[in-house]
Amino acid sequence: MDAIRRLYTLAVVLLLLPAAVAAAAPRSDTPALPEQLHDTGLFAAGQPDRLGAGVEAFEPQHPLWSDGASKRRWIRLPPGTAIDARDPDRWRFPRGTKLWKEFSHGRPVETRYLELGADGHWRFATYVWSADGRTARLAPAGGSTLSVEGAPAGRYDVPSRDDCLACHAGARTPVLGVGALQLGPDLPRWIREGRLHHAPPAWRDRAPAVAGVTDAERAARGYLHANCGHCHHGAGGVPVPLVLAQDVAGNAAPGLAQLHEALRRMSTRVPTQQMPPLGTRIPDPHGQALLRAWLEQVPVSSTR
Amino acid sequence: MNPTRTAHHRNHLVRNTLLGGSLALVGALTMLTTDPVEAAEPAAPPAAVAKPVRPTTEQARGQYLMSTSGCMDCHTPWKLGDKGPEPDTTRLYSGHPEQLKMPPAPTLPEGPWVMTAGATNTAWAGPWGVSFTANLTPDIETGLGRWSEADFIRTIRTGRHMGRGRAVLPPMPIAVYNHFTDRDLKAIYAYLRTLPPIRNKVPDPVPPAPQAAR
Repeated sequence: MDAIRRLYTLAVVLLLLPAAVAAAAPRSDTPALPEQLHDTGLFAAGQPDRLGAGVEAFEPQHPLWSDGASKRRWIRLPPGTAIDARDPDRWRFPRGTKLWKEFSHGRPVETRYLELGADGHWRFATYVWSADGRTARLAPAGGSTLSVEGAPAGRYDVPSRDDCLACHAGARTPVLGVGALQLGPDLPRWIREGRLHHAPPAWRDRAPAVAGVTDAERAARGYLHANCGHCHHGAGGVPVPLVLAQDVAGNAAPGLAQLHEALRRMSTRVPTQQMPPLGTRIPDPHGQALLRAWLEQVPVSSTR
Repeated sequence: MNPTRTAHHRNHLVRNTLLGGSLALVGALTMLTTDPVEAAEPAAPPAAVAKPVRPTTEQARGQYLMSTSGCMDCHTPWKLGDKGPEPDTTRLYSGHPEQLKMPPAPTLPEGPWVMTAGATNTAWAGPWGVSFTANLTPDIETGLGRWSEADFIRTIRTGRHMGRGRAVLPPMPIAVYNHFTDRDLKAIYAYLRTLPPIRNKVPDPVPPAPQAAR
């Protein structure tokens, strides 16, 4: 009787096993990333000088420091879709959303690409431009270092896909440059044009701004939000008790000692101490100046 | 870390995990249907009676993996015992002792010798500067208390703290340990959570001296 039971159990498990493996294995119907940037939809077909249909340029209020590279950014939402803004700090993007960011040092060097697939997963890639600026080819997944005139010491680091995840995967939303605080004055227009759903009614007239008593504080906290907040957001980012991300509703400023430490870390490029820990080779003089200007205004009584 | 390999790894893992799970299921069902030993055991004693907590299968596997992978060699300080150097198990996996202030590392002459280590095996000097082994116990302020399982796995996979912080320094053999499967790393994390938390703030690494100052 025992032998029959064992055989029966084994038969049931063996029958279920292939189906279970098939269900859990990653879906293979996700198309491979295009080998050429021109095939991602950034440009109109056959017209590399014209943007593709539905592709919109945007400019964040508080840009990320990228060793002085100049940058251009674009987004494309699938026709008839919109971003769900009901959580003002964690926008949800429709499947099929694509974003691009071009980095230039006198000439385009690379264009990074984010895509929210039909399976609900974000994909990250980057395309490296040929020296003549005619084509951009999918970069190796492991990243690379290029010789680029105009970049610090002539060296330019193309991120690996793990590097992409380092900043984008642990953030409150994987899209870092498109949010209420980053779009600023463009936000009411985005709502009018139907790109946002469930946005707070007040945003139709006026975009929310980074909290702060003075312009210097708002500028510095906006900088920290954009350059540090994707990890230091206190909601499952890095397990460090330091919040530099800004909530749309406003949040308390970090303590003075924390801000001085942040300034020290963003001013060094010692690999074990620098902040951000990856993505730049030289400190941002503008960012340092913003933080110093705010620190000069902070009354001693606010020291925590 | 090569993401292609990661993806391959993951596929492999999904299948391995399922296969493992299925085999475990076979075992469990077989036991349920055939083995009366468990049912014949006496009822559990009242909860008030202190009883050592038995590790789960996963925690025991994590302990096994750590003890066979050399983790003790660097993350538990060594002391001189009756029979020679031995790990100080009162400081189990708590990293470089906070109280042990190391003098500057010796300057080695030009040549093939590049690395020195402290007697505790918790402080290492080389071309990368000076590194101190981490406190792996679940102490909230000084250990891995705030680290999630995902933070731990991403660290070993990428060689960066939590996958997004500073690089993990030599001599930590990341290139060896990133071959662990996710199941292995989950087991190690599960075991680490069972360690007694030890408050021990390991010093920050010291960067190498600038070339000009040498």
